[in-house]
Amino acid sequence: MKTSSTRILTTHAGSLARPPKLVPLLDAQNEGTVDQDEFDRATRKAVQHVVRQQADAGISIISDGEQSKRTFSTYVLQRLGGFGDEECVDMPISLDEREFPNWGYRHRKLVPCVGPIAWKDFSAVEKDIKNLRDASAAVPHEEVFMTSASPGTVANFFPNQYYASREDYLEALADAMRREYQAIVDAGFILQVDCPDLALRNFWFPDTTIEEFRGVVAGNVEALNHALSGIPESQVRLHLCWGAGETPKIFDVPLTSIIDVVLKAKVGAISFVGANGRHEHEWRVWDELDLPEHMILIPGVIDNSTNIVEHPDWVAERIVRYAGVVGRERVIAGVDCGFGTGASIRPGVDPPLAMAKLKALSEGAEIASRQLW
Amino acid sequence: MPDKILTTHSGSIPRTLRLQEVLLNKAAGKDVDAAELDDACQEAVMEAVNGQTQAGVTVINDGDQSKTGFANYITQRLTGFEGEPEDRVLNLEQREFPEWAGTRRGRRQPCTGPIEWKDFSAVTADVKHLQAAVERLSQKPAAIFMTSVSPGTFTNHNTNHYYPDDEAYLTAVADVMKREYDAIAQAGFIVQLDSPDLAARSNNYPDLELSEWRKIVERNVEAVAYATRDIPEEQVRVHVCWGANAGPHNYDTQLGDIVDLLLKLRGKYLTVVAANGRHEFEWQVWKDVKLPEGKVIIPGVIDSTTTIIEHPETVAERILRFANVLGRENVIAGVDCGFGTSVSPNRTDPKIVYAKLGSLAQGAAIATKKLWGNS
Repeated sequence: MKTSSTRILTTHAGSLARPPKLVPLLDAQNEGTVDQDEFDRATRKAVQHVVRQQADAGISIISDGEQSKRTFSTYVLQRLGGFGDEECVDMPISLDEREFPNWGYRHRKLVPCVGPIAWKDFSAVEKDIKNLRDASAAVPHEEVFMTSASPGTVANFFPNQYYASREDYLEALADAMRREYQAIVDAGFILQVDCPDLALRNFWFPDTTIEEFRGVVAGNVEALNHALSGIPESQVRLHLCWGAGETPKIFDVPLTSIIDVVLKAKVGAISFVGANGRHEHEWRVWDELDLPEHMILIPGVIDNSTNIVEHPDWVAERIVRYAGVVGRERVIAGVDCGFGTGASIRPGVDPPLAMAKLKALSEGAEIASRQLW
Repeated sequence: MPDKILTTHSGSIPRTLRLQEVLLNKAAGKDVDAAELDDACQEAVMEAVNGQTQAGVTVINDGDQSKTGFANYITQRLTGFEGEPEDRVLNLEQREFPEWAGTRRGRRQPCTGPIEWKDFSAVTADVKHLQAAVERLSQKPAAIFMTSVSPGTFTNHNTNHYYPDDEAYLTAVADVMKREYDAIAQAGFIVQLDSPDLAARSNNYPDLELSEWRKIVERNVEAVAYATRDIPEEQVRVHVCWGANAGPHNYDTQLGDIVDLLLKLRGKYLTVVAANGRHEFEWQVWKDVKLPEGKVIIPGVIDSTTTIIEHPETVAERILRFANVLGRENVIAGVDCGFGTSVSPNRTDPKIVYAKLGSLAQGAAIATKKLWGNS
């Protein structure tokens, strides 16, 4: 993993809006009615486009914007067997919704796991890798990353109706996802495991106490480590978040309540929410932690949930704050969460503005670099 | 001298559902029963006053409940606006991001005749409703404010098609609005002049150079002094902002480019945007500014454009930054802009607004503890 050795590097949380033409294709793929050649051509083109956009915005560690994925987590449905045919399990009612019933929530149903988890289409991973490798070869960048869902996240989105226990289910998911993780790393990319499962008590485990939830997190970290065994920590970054949406967030577990457990993950960097007003103050938490020597921080210094384009001077101030806590070499400037976590979910930031925000990110990193070097 | 960080907000709070319906009907030109309007307003103001008080806010208002919009309410009160509305000019953000801007175009009501009061009872009703609501509180607020549109914002929102020149128009507006400002002050309230005209160049004069536009700001600053001349400075506060919308804001004038003019404003209190990511860094501006004696700055420490409820620790950190630069007694914790600057069917759930105000009060309590200790 490249680090900010001579200047502050920049990256983002992974997903970017899909081009309008790709959205119906992703929906059709979900329905099983897509023309595969058309889909492949469209995703390949979309990856080229977003890779170019990131380079134009001056981002140093770039991704495919998850163009081939309908959502950051449920994309596994096309890749793995063992899931049911229909969305039939209710998501829990979140604590936010209980407190603010008029806010306007999407009530989604989930596809359960009803059989043994096994790969059915690994070529989707290979296509993603090829698309990103080819697209990134054509633009200036420092490094390339690719996202993948953590075992705990898949377990949350696909409730278990088959395995004897959550532990068994997590282990099966870890064994399967491991192949995807390994392929991403073998391609020379940085693997980003998307881990809202390590923070999102409010959505997934609203009725647990913090202590009970810490137990869930510990189980998820254990499964993640199992899936990552044999993969060098320095090739993996973990994205920790509380959901990408502009929700009230008052029930977000504080970073201090979970970070000791999260830090047991065998990864080289942690990407986390640092820009939105619910979590901005948590930069101080890192000062009080006994952070492992090798661990790189990728704080969000851009808020993915608002159209307001951050001022580069403010981005710089946020970066410098983190550099003051852990040292400039251990900070990579990032974004709170994805700009397009789901293809057909209306993003918190209108797509043309997301690029303006990425530009503000790289300008802010330049200002910070001048101050720090 | 206060012994704690006081809290306030920028004025507007989403209307109650009942009042929203009445106001939208009225704006659409439908017959609205006067008694029904009065009752719905009184009820809504009670709710706003109670909501702010329960959240722990100490400098409160009526939540602009009776107003259809923070600026356009005035056309219902004054003559001179009987013509057809016209399109607003495209701002710089809309020009840079047409895909984002879509077909949304603001409209404004031009001034086509002499402006005079036709319904001053709307002002007295506002005063009466707010007094009645505060009367019923067992715990009284530290102060009460009421918003009113500034002369410069008035002229920006309602272009002049009648007066011989802009100067004459601004003077006429100041003369007429003085009556509303004076009435608010005579009720014992602080008059808040809503003044995006002092900052929002992109929305109003996108094609003017900064130096040219500053001349307009300077003129508008003078109009504030002229229109409030009979009100004690302690009862005047000016709300400066770049618009309440969650747009890109990347063409917002920087505070550093206008702060010299803002400090010439008559009035004890000045509110500035300081919570959203476009303006949060501007706390630094105050390091290089000499604050006039007695001036109190009200930085936004809550972002009015997002439903994310700020953590009280984030709020406290923002307050402390200002208090350390300006002195704790020169800072009141506020909100970037209004939560409901116009009556709209797409309103934010007021419960979220009050939760954000609760965070504001909790953050101010944390900051107070750090700034005053146990003394």
